Amino acid sequence: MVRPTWDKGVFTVRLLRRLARVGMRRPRMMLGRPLLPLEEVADGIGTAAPGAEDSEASRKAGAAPPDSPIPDTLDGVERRLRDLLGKSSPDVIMRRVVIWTNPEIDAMLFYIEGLASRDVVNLVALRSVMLAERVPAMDAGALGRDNIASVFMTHIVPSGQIAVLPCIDKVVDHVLTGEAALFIEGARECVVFEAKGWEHRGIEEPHTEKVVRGPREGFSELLRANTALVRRRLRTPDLRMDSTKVGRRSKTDVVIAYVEGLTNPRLVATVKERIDHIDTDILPDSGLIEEFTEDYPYSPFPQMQYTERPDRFCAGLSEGLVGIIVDGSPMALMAPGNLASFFQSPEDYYERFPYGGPLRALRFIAGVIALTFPALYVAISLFHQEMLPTKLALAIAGSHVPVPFPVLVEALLMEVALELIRESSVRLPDPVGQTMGFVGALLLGDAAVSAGLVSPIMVIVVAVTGLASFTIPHYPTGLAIRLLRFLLLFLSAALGLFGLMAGLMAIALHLGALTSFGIPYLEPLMKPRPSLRDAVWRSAVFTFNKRPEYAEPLDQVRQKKFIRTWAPGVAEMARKESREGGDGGGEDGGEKGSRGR
Amino acid sequence: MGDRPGHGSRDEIYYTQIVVITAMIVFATGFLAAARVLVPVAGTAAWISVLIGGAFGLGIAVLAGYLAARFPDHSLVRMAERVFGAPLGKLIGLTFAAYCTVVLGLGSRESVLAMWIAFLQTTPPVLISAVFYVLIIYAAYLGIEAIARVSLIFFSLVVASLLVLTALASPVAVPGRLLPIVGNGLGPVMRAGFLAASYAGESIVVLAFIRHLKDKRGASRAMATGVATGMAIMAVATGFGVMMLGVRGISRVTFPVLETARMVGFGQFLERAEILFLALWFSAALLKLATVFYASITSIADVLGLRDYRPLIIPYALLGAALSLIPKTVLETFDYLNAFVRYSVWYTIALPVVLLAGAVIRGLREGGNDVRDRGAG
Repeated sequence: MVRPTWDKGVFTVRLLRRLARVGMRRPRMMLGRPLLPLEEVADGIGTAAPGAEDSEASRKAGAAPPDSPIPDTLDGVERRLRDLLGKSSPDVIMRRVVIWTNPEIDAMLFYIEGLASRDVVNLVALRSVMLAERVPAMDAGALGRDNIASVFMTHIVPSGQIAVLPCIDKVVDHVLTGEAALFIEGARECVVFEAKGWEHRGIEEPHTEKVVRGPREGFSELLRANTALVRRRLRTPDLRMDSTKVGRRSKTDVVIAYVEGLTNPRLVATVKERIDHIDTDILPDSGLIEEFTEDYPYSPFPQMQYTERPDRFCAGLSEGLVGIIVDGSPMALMAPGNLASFFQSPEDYYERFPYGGPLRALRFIAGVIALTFPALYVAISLFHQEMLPTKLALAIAGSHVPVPFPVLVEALLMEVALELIRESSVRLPDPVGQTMGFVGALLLGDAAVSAGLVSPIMVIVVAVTGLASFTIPHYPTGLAIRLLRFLLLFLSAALGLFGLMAGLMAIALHLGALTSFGIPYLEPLMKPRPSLRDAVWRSAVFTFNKRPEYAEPLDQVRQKKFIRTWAPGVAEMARKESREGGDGGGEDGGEKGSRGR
Repeated sequence: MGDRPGHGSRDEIYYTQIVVITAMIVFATGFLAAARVLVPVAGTAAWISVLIGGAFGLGIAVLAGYLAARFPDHSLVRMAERVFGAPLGKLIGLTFAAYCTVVLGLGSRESVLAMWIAFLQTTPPVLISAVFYVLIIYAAYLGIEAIARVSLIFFSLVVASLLVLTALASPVAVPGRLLPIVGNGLGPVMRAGFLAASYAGESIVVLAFIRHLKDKRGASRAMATGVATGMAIMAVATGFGVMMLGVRGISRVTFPVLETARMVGFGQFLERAEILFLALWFSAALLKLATVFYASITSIADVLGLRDYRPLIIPYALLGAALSLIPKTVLETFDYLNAFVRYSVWYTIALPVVLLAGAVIRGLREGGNDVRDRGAG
């Protein structure tokens, strides 16, 4: 048990003073119905955060309807709480206290140890309730069972986020999110105040989106820390973070983030509607939201972007995407997704464009290699040997002589081995995993060649494929490519390049039909110029005058067209454009002004 | 796509996509064997006859575009019904579907033969045809939007492959084989040009779904640009075929462009790269035939008054596959092809002319530019 941190001497002196002032222990007052007249109290006084979000969200999350009143006595309250939370939960704390009003009132502090901060409970609640200077002067006799909780809320309990609730089930809901509740003997309402203070992982470097250059902060499992990270980067008052709860039992907080006036409201409405439709038991991670809300759940391709980088998340919001942050998940989602976005890395923008552009193009090429290279090798070696120069064809044939399997089986063996190594290294701790990856690949490849199970060329093919697939920044996209690679292998083995092409066509058609929240998956690739500017390539940042169109942002102009007006020629171009009536927001000179709708 | 519940697909095709689809329809299957059809008539001037055919095709495309602009929200069958009344309109719709069916059958047979003869001689053509039709069915099921998007991507790859082929073939090509410029004379060149117009005339297929074009004002220009692009590609392919193989050489081969590809190589690395080219061209042919298939079944669905064309996909695919198996040999296929290019051009001219004339005479003009702005979801 951690001791309170206040000065013991001061505390003792104050306690003695207070005892001297009041002289003796006062008689207990019972706020029972017969003793006090009923008073009408205005509802909703100071209903700050804890109570503010309860109504709609908790109703949707399956909480009991607000018709379970708070029992009249603390014993009744305790019994009811034991009924609701079980009789033997050691983390459920119900601490009886006596409030030194005149006359004294019995009360009970109710919180979950581990969820509520001890400091808050001890320092703020207990101290203020039991020992505050003004408490003894309070005439409890003048308070009724209807208004005493409100008076405590406004006069006694010093908390920024505080509310009174009339329903015990709602109180339990709030306490289960880390808040603390103060039940007062005989009161109709209960004071609920903010006390969240559980242990959590700090802000660390993102594990899955590492960059050489760029911020090192990553999302954590704490919702409020994550929203703060976003707010810190996007300080516009237009940033909206609409909260909802998902999960009948988990009641997980989900925040839907977007920029008002920029994000298309229809997109926001679609995202909210789909999340509202989720009716499930628990929501342990944002990945489940992805599966519940995507357009084509049976497609191998991911349809939402996810990131654990606040900088990337904010960049997405500034492009008109809708962000989703789930409490307990370090992975924030962004909708809609598209194929090009899954090949982009934040580093593309943090490095200068002469490097960012080729690196991004390299990733696309790597994606094609990862998808097709083994299948191409199988097709050529089985059906189209005439394509290769004679020496290379002979080398391939020679290397395959000691191998007892057909090329397809050989390729499958190596591919499965590669997948096993990759999967095992992912599950192991970082240093061990990396070592396992290298050693496993080297040993397995060398041993397999020595044993005559595979040809050395096949090892090279599979190794190049593996390397290529590692360059894809978005893990689920890599998984989709890994999955489809096997399909293409079989088609190539059956029909050669014709089969490979048929498979690629089927994949392309599937991608052509795919949408994410109604937005076509291939949309950014459909227009050559924007696609070259910031999809398959990354041009200079000062040419990004407009936001990407695929999310249909309301405000399409991102920045002034001519920013580098100090550079020779640019000022002249800007003046010329200005004379011709442009406002500097156009895209290519031909398109002028904002096309905001 | 658009009619599936819960999905926000917008049923929109962009201008560039119409250009690309039109170009693909014009050249994707024709350019493999156009030289074989045109060289016997026009001789060394076959490439000029392609350009003349392109000029005819431009006229057809412009007329079709004007027709589409008059009825911006109508499919071809609905246009015909609007102009000539329901019974005659439906009949015109059926003739259009029949035309598409023949294009589909011959095109698929031609493509399957190219693949079979060149590379998969041990594989039964029926199997190749089956794979072909499975993909066409899938594409038609997904709808014209998916086909349009994929066409845009593959068109750029196909054009790039043709540019590479042209660059690689240039050192081997003999420009002198294009002489005499007028080939077999002006008359035969014009006659061949008229035959070539049948390839360009296939662009009328676009009328079946041009209502999905986002900005209807661009319909005529988009179709004309597509025809010009497609015929330019075909002219280059035919010209290089003559330069590489000569008039007599072309008469001996089945697919001149394929033979041209066989004669080039990538330095010391890929010696016989024609399979790579053919694989890409196969994708173009597939997308063209998927488009024709879609146009045909949507027209039949319009004639039958069906709200969804998808129930027609499988029966119609079986019909198309069966038709594609009618020509037993390569020579028989080319006989059918020659007959088709000779007569189909009349239909491709007559259809837009008759509909447009009817609309003008009756003073019919509906809607305006319909730039829809349907958002996400």
